[in-house]
Amino acid sequence: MASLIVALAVAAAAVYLARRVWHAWRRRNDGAACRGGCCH
Amino acid sequence: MASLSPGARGRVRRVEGQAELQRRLAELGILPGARVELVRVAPLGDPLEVRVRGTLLTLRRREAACIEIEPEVAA
Amino acid sequence: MSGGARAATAPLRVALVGNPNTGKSTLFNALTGLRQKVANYPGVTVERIEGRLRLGDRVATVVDLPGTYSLTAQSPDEAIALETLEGTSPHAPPPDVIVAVVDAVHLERNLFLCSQLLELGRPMVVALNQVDLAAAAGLRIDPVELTLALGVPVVATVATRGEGLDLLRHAIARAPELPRPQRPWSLPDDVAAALQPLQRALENLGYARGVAAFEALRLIGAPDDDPRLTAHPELCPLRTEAQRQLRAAGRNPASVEAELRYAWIDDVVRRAVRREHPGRRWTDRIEAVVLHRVAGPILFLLLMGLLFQAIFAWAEPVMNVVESVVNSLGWAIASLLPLGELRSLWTDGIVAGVGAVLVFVPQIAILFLFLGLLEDSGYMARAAFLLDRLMRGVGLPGRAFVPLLSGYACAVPAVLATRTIEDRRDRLATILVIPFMSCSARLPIYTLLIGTFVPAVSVAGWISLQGLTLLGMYLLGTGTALGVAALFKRTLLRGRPRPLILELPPYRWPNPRTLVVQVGHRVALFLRRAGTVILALSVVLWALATYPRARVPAGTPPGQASEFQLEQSVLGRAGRAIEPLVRPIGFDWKIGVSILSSLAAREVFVSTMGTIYGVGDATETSPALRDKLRAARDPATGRPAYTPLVAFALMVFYVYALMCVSTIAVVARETGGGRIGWRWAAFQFAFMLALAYVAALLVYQGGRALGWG
Repeated sequence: MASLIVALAVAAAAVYLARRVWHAWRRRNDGAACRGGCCH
Repeated sequence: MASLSPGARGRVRRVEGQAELQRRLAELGILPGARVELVRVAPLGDPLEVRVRGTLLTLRRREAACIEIEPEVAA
Repeated sequence: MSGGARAATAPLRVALVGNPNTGKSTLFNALTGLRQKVANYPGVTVERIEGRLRLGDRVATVVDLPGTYSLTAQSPDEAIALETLEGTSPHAPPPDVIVAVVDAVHLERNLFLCSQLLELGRPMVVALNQVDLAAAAGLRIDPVELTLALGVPVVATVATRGEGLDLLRHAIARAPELPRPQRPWSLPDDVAAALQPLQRALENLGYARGVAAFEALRLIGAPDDDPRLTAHPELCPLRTEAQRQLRAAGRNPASVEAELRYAWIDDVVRRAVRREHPGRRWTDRIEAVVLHRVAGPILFLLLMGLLFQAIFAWAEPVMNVVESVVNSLGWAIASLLPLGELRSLWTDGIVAGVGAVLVFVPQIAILFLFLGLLEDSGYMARAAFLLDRLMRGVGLPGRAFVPLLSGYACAVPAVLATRTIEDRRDRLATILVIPFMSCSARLPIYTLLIGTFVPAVSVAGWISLQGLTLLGMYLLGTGTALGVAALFKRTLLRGRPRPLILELPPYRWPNPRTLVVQVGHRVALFLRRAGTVILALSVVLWALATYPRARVPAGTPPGQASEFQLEQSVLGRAGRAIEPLVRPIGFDWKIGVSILSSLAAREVFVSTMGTIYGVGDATETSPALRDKLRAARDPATGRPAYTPLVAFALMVFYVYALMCVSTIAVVARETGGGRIGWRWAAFQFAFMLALAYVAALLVYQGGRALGWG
């Protein structure tokens, strides 16, 4: 049971990070256009 | 203007220099006929603190030199 | 005759515009209360701030645009303002109502922007702010007279006391129903004639008559790379011809717009402003000290020293409290969990990770509070004035001082703050060296290493050696920043120094409420950003350091058992693989791995070391980790794994290395985004890493050669 929770937590964390990286990669070209402060 | 001493006042006679500089100075009110006052000089000799139209501005010596002043003689 | 086909219940878009230092942000806070949304990392009012406001039965969204003196954009943040107001911004629709915030104390200069705004032909309201300060300075301004002169409602306000806000809200709600504003003066015949073709061309491009007239006048004096001209090159010959005609008529194209506007302003001021008494001059006396030849720099150094002291010494008690709270909470929950993986995940992964971040909140808060105080009171501009000569010796504008100083807190907002620097090369040079300013994330690393390896003795009786070492690290970083900037400005980014024209705002008492709101926002943003990414990272790192589980040979003492398992994990194997790289500079694989993981955020170095040493609550002042580090032995030789020399080399490494993805990302975006931006970011990362390695190498090998090994 405990192992399951651990596995889920680690998977969730990994997915979260992967999504952030992918998100940032998709927006890598938003340079000067981000001047308006829309980027997070 | 760079040759005035602290506390001196005068009217702008002409503004020289690059067009960009002239425009920016003009936008802040440094135009022919405007009254200006050299308030003080920074500890290292540069920049200068100038009062024009009620506002205090910082100008570098080289830019202030582009402003030709007709000094007011203190009464 | 209100315009637009939008339903009366749709939110009204309101934009706040005005010169810098008009109390615009205070007014914004007062109007929107706590219903603000800071959409980007906090900087020096260069980000887009939005809030909501109730206007009777309607709701309005309010945007606080960056302060600007004129709609002819000089710096990136001023360009944003112009784009948004004219409706050409791809990110924000044009506002329904413009609220021009005007500083009553500096009415003449403020009216310049106002006169430009009127010509845009959008519903407009003028907030005549800081009338209290104007009264104290002996000025009496008649809002009614101003209203007649401008043709739009003028509401007197004192944003810091909340006066006039109801009237302002009412005026904003009614503004769309009033006749549109227009240029309240007319062009002299010769100017009108010269501008006619240019104006007609603009109208043909689709600009409304009023806006076309405004643009035509503006473009005459605008620089050649003005966005409007680059977007429509066919206007250039028309502009050149108009300039020629003006010169022939004896006028100077560069200052024509300003001359005409100020002529009108002089007339308005004559009608609407009365000087009743000369005004109190206490601020002049303060100014005389602050900018004094000798006292000025001394005061500046004292203030910086105070800031330094505040961040370290004063924050410490609060940090200790946060730490013990985190530890107690962590322990309380840990005891509820079954012994084993789950508890380890909680204690070694989550608590270690999040705790490391929470501990910084007091420092960040103090730093931003201090910076906010310096900025709001008007001191920052004086500091720029004092330092300008020095900064120019390095090749940077005096204005670069504020972003660089912000770098002591965090490079991310500091990089954003460079938007106030107009020259592209100056801005780039500043961005490239900001990460050398030792940001607050390095503090735990310094504190951990100094606390562990530098003896707590006093030098010359009262200066602590530990404090001195810390100061040394900071000076190293700052000195390098200035030196590298000088190098860049002399080689890659050579350029002519741009004019510095900076307004010195009047001194004033900072508003506590605005300050608290500002600091609160920044802290919240820091927490959220760091808390999510670092939390996830800690969990993943914990997993990498725990799995795959190896079978421990029987009879191994528990301490060595966990060490053995660690070496068999993914993290351990990766560490061993890179160990040859870091050996020359005195580091072992554990430090190597921690350095790698600190790429996510520098403070992760400490939590990774903590995880590796199997200590649950390893923060930088935890005795357990310190003792472990002192006791750690190199398995091959049996001698201490870490000596003061190693610690020193490690600190020097961190002074220089850019171990922070957030910074890399923001640098990439702010230097142009896309390929160009990422190339600059990669360049910065590479040269900083190289510098870090070489410096650590020199320190370690040099120290060994001198017998300090």
